[in-house]
Amino acid sequence: MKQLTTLLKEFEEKIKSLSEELNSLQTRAYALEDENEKLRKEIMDIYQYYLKDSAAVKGKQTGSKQGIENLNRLYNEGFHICNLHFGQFRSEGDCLFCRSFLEKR
Amino acid sequence: MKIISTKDSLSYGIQVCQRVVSSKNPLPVLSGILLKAGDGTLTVTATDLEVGIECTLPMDIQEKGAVVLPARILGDIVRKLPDVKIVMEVNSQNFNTTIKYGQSEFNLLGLSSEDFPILPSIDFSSVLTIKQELFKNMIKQVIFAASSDDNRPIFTGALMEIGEDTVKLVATDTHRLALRTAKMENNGFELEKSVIIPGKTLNELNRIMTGEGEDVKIAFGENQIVFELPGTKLISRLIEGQFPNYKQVVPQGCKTKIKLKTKELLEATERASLLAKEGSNFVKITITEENMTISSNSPEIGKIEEQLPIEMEGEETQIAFNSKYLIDVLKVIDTEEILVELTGSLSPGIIKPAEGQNYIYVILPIRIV
Repeated sequence: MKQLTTLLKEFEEKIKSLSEELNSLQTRAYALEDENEKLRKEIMDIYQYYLKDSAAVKGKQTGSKQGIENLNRLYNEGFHICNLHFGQFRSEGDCLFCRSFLEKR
Repeated sequence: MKIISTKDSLSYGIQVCQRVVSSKNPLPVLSGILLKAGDGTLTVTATDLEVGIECTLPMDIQEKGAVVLPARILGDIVRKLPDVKIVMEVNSQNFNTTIKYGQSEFNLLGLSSEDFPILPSIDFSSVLTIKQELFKNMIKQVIFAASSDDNRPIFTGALMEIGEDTVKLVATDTHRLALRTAKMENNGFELEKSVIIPGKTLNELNRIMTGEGEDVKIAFGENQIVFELPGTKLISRLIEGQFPNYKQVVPQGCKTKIKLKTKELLEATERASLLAKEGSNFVKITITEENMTISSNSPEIGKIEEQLPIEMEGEETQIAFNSKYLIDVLKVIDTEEILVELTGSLSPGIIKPAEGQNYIYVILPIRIV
């Protein structure tokens, strides 16, 4: 009988840990979906900018300026723009590599 | 297998290896330590398939053989043994192990050594030799800046760059970066090489290096690195991938340059960090011609403001740093004074020892508006 209860206890703990894992996976999935949505929007925005740009047939310089501005905006909205993690969400604070890229320009 | 040992000798070997044993490993044999009795030596080996340590001890061997014993319990037993002659005997049929000490004995169920992975052997034709003391110091000054986030494996390690006459160690978590350079003339190494060594490996190595005048020899395999100390060998997998170009991150030139006492800044920052808000955890630094003010403010608790004397060149400025990032570096700089170079409140700052050019720490400020 005792064995059975310990077994049951173990089983319960296992289920608990599994459900915790499931929960964390769920939150992660939501976060990823969120991020995906944001990124999609960003891409749409940038694409539209690009369309406007090409429609106006601006000079090369203004084009690259616009690009930098876009990158700057992306960075300020909380995404990496460095080649390492481009487009990923910046979870904590600034990134040395993004900053050095922006500052170089 | 039968060996006669002292407590210290056995305990040393097991302690060196025990830490790499992973309790979560799916292979039961890997939660054990391999003991192998050869000609006058006992070889103790442990691995989690990422890192492996092999420690060879001179020992009175009565009968050769090998056994795998559970690491945790073996470590605990050996540490608690009395300081008397210890006889360890293994039944070669079922691997039951008897540890005899004085009038008492301890029985432990062992496993066959056949299933234990063999550590890869590496060609020692091209070896880099460094003084343990120096390498220990290099690891200490760099490894804390590595990331602990397993999602970005490259940043959990440190880049080791071997040049013609220098060895560089670099680590970053993208918020700060530590770079330590060591001049190495005649290091015996002819190749230029750069590899990413896992942080765990360097921490383990740091633990087992005694740093007393001896050398550490480093050899490279295809995707492995071996550190050889007298009596001990540590083999580790390298982290694959391209380490980012760290040179682009180090700012060239600055607008404000200050010099101050390392210890004073460390102590002031530690006090200020007590009040730094949880989460953002920053301290504010204001630099004027006369002094540096370190302040931190927590609306619910109170505020702190400290002033330190400094030598200053250039513009007055204001900047905020994560107090942990600041404290980490101040703890490992061993010169009395440091130089802090800043360019406005948004650009990364540089911290380096006042003397010598061998260490640079780049730290990103926190934006305060």
